[in-house]
Amino acid sequence: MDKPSSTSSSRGRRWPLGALFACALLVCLELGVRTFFKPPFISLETYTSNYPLAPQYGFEGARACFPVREQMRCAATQDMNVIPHEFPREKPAHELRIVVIGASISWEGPRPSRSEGNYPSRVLEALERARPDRTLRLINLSVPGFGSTRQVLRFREALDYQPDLVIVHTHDTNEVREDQRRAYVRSLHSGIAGKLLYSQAVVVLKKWWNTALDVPTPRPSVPTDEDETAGLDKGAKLERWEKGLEHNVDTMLELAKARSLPVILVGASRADSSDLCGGRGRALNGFLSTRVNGNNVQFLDVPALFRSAIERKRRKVFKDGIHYNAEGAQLVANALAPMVQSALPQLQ
Amino acid sequence: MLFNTGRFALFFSVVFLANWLLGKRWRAQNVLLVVASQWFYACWDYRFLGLLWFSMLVDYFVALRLDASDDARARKWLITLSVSVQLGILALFKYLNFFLDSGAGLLARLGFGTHSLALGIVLPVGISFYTFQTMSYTIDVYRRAIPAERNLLSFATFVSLFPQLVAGPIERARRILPQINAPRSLPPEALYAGASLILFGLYKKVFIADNLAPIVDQAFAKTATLTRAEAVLALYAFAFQIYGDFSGYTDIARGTAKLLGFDFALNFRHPYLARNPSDFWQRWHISLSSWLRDYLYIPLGGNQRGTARTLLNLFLTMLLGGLWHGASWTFVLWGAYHGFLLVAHRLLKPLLNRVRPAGIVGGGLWSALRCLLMFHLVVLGWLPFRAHSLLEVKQVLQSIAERGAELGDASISLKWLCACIALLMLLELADELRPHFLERRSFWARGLVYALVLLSISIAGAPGGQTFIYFQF
Repeated sequence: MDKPSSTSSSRGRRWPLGALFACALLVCLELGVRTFFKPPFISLETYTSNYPLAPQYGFEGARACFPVREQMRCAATQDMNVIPHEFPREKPAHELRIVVIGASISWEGPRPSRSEGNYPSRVLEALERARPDRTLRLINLSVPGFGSTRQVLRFREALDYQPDLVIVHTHDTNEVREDQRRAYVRSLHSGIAGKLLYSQAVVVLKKWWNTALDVPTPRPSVPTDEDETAGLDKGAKLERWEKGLEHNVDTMLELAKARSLPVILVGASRADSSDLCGGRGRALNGFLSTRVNGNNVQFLDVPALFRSAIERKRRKVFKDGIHYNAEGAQLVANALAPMVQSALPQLQ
Repeated sequence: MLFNTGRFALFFSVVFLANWLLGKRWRAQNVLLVVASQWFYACWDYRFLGLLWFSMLVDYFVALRLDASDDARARKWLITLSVSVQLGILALFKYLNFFLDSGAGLLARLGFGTHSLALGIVLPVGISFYTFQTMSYTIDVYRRAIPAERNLLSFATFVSLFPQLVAGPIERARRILPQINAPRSLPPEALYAGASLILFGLYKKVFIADNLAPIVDQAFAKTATLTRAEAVLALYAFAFQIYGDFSGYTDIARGTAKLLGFDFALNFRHPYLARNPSDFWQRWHISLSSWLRDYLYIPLGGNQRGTARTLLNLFLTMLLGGLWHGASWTFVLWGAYHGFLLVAHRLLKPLLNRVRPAGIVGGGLWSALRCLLMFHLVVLGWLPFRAHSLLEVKQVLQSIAERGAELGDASISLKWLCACIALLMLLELADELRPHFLERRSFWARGLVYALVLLSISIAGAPGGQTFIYFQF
């Protein structure tokens, strides 16, 4: 009657060697998974179809892998980010680095191609044409769906690359996703079970267990139409997003100012509005224009640029509601290149 | 406050630390434990704290009078008063609705049209456990097996000690009161044993019971359309769900008690490796079956009044044991089923002893066969225990008897079942064949098992703090 139950006993021992050995095993497992087990955690399909609302849980801060020219290329990620290139941290002498922080509008896609590239690569092309004697490197850290909160994180990461100039393209459309993502992450890591998902060994084994037992891929418990702001009225949500955007842009500018780093702010634009920016975009652009400070902080008013282009020649600049087509990308690149040159004396 | 939640972990950490800091000051520790236990119980429903204290105070004062009195007639009156009050509380809160509803049903069948008479009485959590615990105390004092406890604080600690307050084990005063009234220590081995019990308890609850629960719930939500495979799998799954759930709870209760310096009685001992019904009840919910034996079966005459009376006593004890679990005809059926098994075993015992093969191999195979048969009899017995009504019992039995055996979607449930119980059954079997199997292994083997258990909880432990099945009793 008095003895402990069969599966749960221990005799008189001064040191719990079994428990210590169990802990050591678990630590080794975690380290082993982190060191040697590098599957393509985030497939392109997962990324494009689910991200950022339903990432495979637990892989924040993990590695991301993409097929690039028939090879899988993996890169360290920050906050579930995807970087299709690997950039050397150490900047060679005489190299000039331009970093782009943005979302889908400035993203180059998993297979960037110069001929079909978005405006950042076109800016690079224009600059290289203007100053073939200079060594230039474009580091595009844009990620589709990123709102201003995660752009601040990217900005901090960008500083590691020792940039000479940063182009920040903040858009008003992704702020709702920031709220959804925060709600998702909070729900994902809530409770003890959620905290365990910070362990990569747990996530890898959980994935194996779920596959073996036909458990459906977990979906975020936060419905896509709900977010951190659920319950707030539309006006309160707009105010919250505006304040968040302004705070985050100011944070990036302060980080840049502390390092005497010139910044170009690219304005928001959209096709479905007569002034090509809409109410929220107008407010954002108005705010961005107030931050202009000589060559240190410049602002490209994209709606104004597009309006004048449309007035001069009847042409389309958008391929959908907000993304530029090749014409639009070229227009933005043409406008940005001289601004970059004015900010970087080495290119003048 | 469920044992498998972060809230309980926080609560217990505070209590454990405070208890540990008080060192050998056991009276102060008792104050701490009584306060903590009231808080623990109030987290369920503070309104029933009054009922708990009423039940406790009645038995405290009755026991004092019983101890002091030498008048046999007065003592009989006192014990009758105590038992009547405790059973009255149980009858009012647990069984009144059942009897009213059954009475109304009977009247309706006899042609006297009547509507349901059920009252909206809430069942206080743990009522069956603490009333039985205090009843055993007063009966023991009445029998002069133990002296009455004079210190109300010690008695309150005995009745309301939070690890066992809501779902047992049903502790005996002669075992716990001496521990309460003495300095308690926490040697390293007790610390490891307590932590190990909590770990295995969590494993049984969140990995086994909570993962099997959806299989069972889904099946019992559609008893009219179950296939044979689904019905059979649901019964197997429930067998392990309830074992994981209840023995997991008990392990956590015993582990937390151990960390507070107490040693609770063993409540489960590999019940699914029992060889016969009598053996099963010496392995399953031992604290209840021994209570029923000592305070019901033996007072009824036990096996001292001839074969027929012994069989009747066995049957009645199990019938009432079934009713103790819940106020429903399904529990009565479950009790009657086990009563029938015990009676049948008692009758067949001489025959079984005669046909037992000789030799190690033959004996081993015979034991394995009996284990397997007993396991399946127990599994079948879980059907009325889990079903909501006698109609559901009938429907599931019909599914097993009449419908096709194709596995279909049940193959996933089968995989889940095997994955969930593999390690547990391996350890139980090893411990049955070689007692203290795990603790006799070297540290790396133990460590490997601990790591596997921890990983199982982390990887596939069902989140969300599911409630324990036995809390409803």
